[in-house]
Amino acid sequence: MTTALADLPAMPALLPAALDVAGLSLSRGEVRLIADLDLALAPGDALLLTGPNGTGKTTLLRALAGFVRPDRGAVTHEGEPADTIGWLGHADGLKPNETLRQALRFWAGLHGTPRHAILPLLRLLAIDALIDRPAGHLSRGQQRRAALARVALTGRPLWLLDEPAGPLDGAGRERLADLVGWHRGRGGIVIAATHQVLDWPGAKTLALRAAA
Amino acid sequence: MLSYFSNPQRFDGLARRAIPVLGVLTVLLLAAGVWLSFFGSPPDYQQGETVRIMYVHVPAAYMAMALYAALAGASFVFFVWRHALADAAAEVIAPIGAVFTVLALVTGSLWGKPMWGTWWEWDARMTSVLVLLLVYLGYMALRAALEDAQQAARAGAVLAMAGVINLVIVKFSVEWWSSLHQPASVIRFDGPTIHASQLWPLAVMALGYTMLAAWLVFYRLRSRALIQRARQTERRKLQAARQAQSTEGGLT
Amino acid sequence: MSGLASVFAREARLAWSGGGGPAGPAAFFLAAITLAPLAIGPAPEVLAAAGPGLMGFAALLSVLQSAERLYGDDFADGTLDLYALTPMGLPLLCLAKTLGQGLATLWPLPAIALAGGLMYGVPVQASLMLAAALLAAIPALVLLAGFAGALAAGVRRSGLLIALIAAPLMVPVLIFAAGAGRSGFEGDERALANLGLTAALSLGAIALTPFGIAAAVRSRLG
Repeated sequence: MTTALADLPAMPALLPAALDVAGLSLSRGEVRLIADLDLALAPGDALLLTGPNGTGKTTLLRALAGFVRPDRGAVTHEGEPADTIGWLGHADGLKPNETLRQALRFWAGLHGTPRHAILPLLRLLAIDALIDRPAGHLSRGQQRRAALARVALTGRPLWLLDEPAGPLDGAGRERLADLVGWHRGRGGIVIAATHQVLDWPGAKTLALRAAA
Repeated sequence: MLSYFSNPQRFDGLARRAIPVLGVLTVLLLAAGVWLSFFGSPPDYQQGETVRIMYVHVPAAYMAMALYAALAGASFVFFVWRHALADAAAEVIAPIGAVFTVLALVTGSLWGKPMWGTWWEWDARMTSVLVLLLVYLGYMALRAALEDAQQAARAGAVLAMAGVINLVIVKFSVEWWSSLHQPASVIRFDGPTIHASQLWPLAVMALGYTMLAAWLVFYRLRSRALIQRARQTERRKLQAARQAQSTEGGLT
Repeated sequence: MSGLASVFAREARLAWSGGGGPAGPAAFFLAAITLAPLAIGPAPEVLAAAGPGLMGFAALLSVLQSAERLYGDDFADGTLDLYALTPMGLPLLCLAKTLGQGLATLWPLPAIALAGGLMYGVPVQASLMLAAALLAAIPALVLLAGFAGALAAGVRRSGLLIALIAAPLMVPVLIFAAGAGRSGFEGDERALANLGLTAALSLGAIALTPFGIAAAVRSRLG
């Protein structure tokens, strides 16, 4: 664990996290991707979704976030999706002309997270020196780190991350692991779709395979 | 009722029996309507023989609006209850409604020439129908542009429902707009009261048009379902070929 | 700052920094009203009569011209996903977002319309009425463009599709806003009624379209 982790300020306590998935079936177009999936995650859990392209990792994440309506089955959150989910899609959700400071202040304010949490989070992700750069001037990996900071700033208990480590280098993946560890330590849940091998202690793996 | 017919087999059974019945009714009613229009009713005391255009025009205008109402209703049902059949109906109705709208515009124009002396009069009704055509075209263009079928269905439903509110406001605003410039000598569509001898051909034609629209809707719904089933069979064959390595996902 | 105000401010800021703010629609509007007399002919009485309507129509086109950016960029860069999960709820957010971006880009239109009216020989009073009507129409126009933009977000060449979807929705706004300028010119007492109806449409749009836009956005996230 890096020393930056110890610097993280006390953020408002997380809402209780829990996720229950019962008999979930999803399809894309007319192709059934997920059939009768059951899942139960408790505070502190992490789940990695793995599998080749086109097996429904993203669709499953989007269903868990409430964007995609399942064919059958139910996703039960502790509370409303709009109050519990910290989302990282395959796109970073950054504006090229907006500096990280402007962007993160906006998102922190929207979620009622104190501003003084921004800098320590950027330090943990080793991009604190870039805070006044427009996002368009950053590398893909740096943008990904900024987007991860934004997820943390939502103060939401359930993180849904689509390829969080995609453009990250080795050091970046370590920082990501620290961030995820910190979140789980606070009672949060992390679900990540990934192609990389992510070494998160105690994380479960759900391997999706080509649809039948 | 919709949930009952959301079972494809049941719907197919209904459609298979309904299509010939509707087809026969359409032919009979339209034949009777045409006969009544030409021979079974007198010329108008004011418009003379040209009044007969009314018998093709008014039912077309009525179908243009009725089909939009059906499109919006189906969209509402799909939006709230997610019945796939309601979405299929909406998708199938739109082009049929657009064709009736074009028919209403063309026949209205043909009727306008002898009545008003111009092919096109920017009066409230014709302008509203023209806007209705734009609404149909926008709906079809949106559905065609969205590749994901589920997104096309949902976005289309949202647009079709918004169109209802819009068409009400358009009707009001266009009447306000055309009242600014009211040529005094025009014979209005709703001006002279309809004589009983004109009511019969009009009613029979309207019924014939309705049957025609219903026939077309059922016919297209059934062919759409058949195409889908053919695609599914095709896909299953492909999948069977790859069966060896395919298994369900599960927790490890 | 409340969530509504901060979304409004951010969208206005992004419209300035990313897309040149009002430059695009203003230049388009100016070009349209400059070219129209060249097509119509220089006869003063014709220009004065056609001016208010032309100006209303050109303003509508300027709104459509910039409509693609309202939701297209946010769809492509993943911002819409994030907006759908905020605590303030999607309808309110869409209202603040659309108005923030729309007002930041469209505010010069009434002023240009005023100048254009004078150049077309429309009486001062009627030109002022037209400018006021455009000002009253902008919220409705931009919200309707936002609705169409959300439905067509991310579609290739979405500009054409947005114009086709939005055109029938904008018919009433065009009628009343241009009508205010025209009846002002005709010395008609209906000018104020037209202006009032334009404002009523904008208020109605503020009350209703956010739900439509939110439904449109959700339909495109699935």
